[in-house]
Amino acid sequence: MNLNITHNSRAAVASVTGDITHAVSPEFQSTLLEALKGSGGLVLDCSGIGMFTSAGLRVLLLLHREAAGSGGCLILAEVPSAVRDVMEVTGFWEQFLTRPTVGEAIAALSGALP
Amino acid sequence: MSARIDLYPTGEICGWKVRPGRVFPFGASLVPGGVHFSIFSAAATSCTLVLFDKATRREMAALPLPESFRIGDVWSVVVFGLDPETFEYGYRLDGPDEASAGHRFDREKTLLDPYARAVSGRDVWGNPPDWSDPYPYRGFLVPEDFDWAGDQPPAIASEDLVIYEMHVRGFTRHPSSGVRHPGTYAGLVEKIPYLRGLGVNCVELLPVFEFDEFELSRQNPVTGAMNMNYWGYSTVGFFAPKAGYAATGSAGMQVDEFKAMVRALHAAGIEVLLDVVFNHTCEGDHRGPSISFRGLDNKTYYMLGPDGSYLNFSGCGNSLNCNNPVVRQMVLDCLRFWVSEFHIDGFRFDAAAILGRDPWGGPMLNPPLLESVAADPVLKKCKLIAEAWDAGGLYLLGSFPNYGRFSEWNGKFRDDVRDFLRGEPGRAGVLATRLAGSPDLYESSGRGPRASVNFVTCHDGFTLRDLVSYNGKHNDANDEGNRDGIDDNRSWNCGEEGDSDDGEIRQLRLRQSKNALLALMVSRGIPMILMGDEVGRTQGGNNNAYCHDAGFNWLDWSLVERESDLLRFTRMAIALRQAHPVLRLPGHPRGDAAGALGFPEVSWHGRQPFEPDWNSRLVAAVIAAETPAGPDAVFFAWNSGSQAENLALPDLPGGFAWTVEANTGCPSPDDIYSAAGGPILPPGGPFLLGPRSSVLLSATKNS
Repeated sequence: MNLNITHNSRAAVASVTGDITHAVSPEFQSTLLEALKGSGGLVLDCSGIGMFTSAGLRVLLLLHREAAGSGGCLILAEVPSAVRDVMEVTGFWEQFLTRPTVGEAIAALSGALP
Repeated sequence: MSARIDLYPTGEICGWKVRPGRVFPFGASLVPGGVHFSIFSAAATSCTLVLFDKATRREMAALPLPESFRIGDVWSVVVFGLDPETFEYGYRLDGPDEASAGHRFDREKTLLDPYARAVSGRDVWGNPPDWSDPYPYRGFLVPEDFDWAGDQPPAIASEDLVIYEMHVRGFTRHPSSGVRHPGTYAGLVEKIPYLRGLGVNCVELLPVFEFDEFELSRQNPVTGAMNMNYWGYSTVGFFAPKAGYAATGSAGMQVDEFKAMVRALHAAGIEVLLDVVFNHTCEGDHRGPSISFRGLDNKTYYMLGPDGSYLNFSGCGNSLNCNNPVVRQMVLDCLRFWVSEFHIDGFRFDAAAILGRDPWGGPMLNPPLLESVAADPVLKKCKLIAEAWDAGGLYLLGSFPNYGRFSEWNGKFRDDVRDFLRGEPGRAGVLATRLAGSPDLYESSGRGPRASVNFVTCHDGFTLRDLVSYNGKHNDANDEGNRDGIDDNRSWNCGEEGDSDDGEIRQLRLRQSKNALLALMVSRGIPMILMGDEVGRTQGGNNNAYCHDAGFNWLDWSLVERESDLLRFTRMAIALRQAHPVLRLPGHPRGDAAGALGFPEVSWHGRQPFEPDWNSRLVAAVIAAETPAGPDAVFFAWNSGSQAENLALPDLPGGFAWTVEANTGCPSPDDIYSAAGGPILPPGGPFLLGPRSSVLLSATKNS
């Protein structure tokens, strides 16, 4: 699993590639939490996610709640259909803010943040 | 944010920080900083908690729990620093291995926690298991973070239910289902519009507690395929949903997917009942594997003979000792868990007569388990349905210890409707009793028709299409020499065994199917339809299809087109039941109590009004009641003879006329109408009821 984070003026964009499973989740979680706290707005570019399990979903949920609790915002962008599928059939998809592309996510973030 | 910590480690075992647990709840649960484990055994001498790394499946720790972590017969511990997403667990218990005294401990064996909320090992249905795995079914922890989004049970009155008995996998596994995830909870969700269109408002799922489809699996020389445990009446984990039914089972998300399914069904106004199997476990008799209960506390969990042998009232090797106070509590915990955590609306208890037996197998007058379930505050609004018999010969239909709460699968309804349907002589009287909600079984006790779950077919036995296509069972595919399955089918093949090209036979079968469905919908009580009966699903005459994960056990969705006539009839018959309050009243109709339009609650008729012939093949009734929407009166007649009958219809008061709502003797679309939507009959005129046909008329106001 690889995580690459870039910051612009309003938000951090994190690109994740590889499998998000129980094996990598603690590391994944702490890095993203840090990025979120640093910027308030976080776009997660999901296009490179391979396998996705319960542990991966729980990290996203935690981020989502952390963001919501601190007046920040998490937007998932370019979610691969297989990942989206897992989130849909488990009833979690509608809890998240999502956008088809990173560009749209950044734009949406600018609108969503104070 | 600073958090107050009252839960801190007090010691270390094998490098893991721990403290004694709080005993309750049993099972594994998340606590601040770690995981709480708690397990019961009365006879064990030691207990070791075994932790596995989820990713590698390797054992990462074995924590022998000190005596100071034992309160009474319960060991409990908090293990700190354990990431709930990264481990699986089990237990190893030591104790006497003395079968004659009822003890079968094996300290080498890693065992599944009976309270495990998720079980790995059979994550994807049909994936070949690793037979060398010494601990194939592993417990793991599941977050309780599902957002129910305000979900509430539909809370449908029992008498208004129309139950659809279905197999989660079989419902959408067929390639024709067209769903994204065939054979799963998610697949079922995609077909909710079909269920709504059909008009059922309750699904009863065949077992969904974790089981092993490979239990006793073997190559079947007759079919060339594997015989599997397709139905799943053999529980591995009572607190864990079947992972192999989840599209996300391999991601460990079966719990979430299951909850999302329940939420979606509720949003569609459909209740969810579970078929639960508390009468035995998957461990079989002394030849079976030690998976959980046998190695944890054999003597507590199973009914044993004086020599320590397994008493077998289930026909499956063992009998769960469910009136032992500890086991009783586990069953109660389990039911409460499914109701509170999964929002389940009720349960159908498989072979429930066993639940009324004492630890030595004797039937009890006042079984504490059933009394506890009936009175439980968490289960207070659940539907409770008993299969009121067991494989040990205890038959409690009508007398199941019910505490005013349990309904019963009415096996007599099934038998008597089948007899009448196939044209047995002299059955008009018993059919009338079934139409009235079986007062012979449920009136004197005051239980009423709500105690009667009416059905003509269920997973056990013929499908409806097979009931009218076969005189005998054809179970050769089961590879048991056609000896398995019941012989008492009360079926009639309409003139030819099996598939037929004869147009008349096919028409008759269709009509007979409609007769059965209409009688089911007209009868007082709670109707239950078997998945696929509405579209003529066939099992090729197999009346015990528990072992086939194959096409004939799956719903073929092309039948929706090919059997559109029967489907339309079923849908409209359900709608007629819902349109007529008089068909759904919670009491037995009486002949000596005023109903409506000058008729008593029920009156019986024959060729002439008020002249029933109980020894005939003709039953006719007017069922009438005053309802908030005005008088509701219907005339139902069923002629199971081979000759048409000319009926003089009972007179209605001025201003009312009989309107045809269903007549199975007519071809579609004149076989059924929406409520009050069919032809109006002239007063007094005779009504010609065709051979093997049934009719439903309603009293409508002349306009």
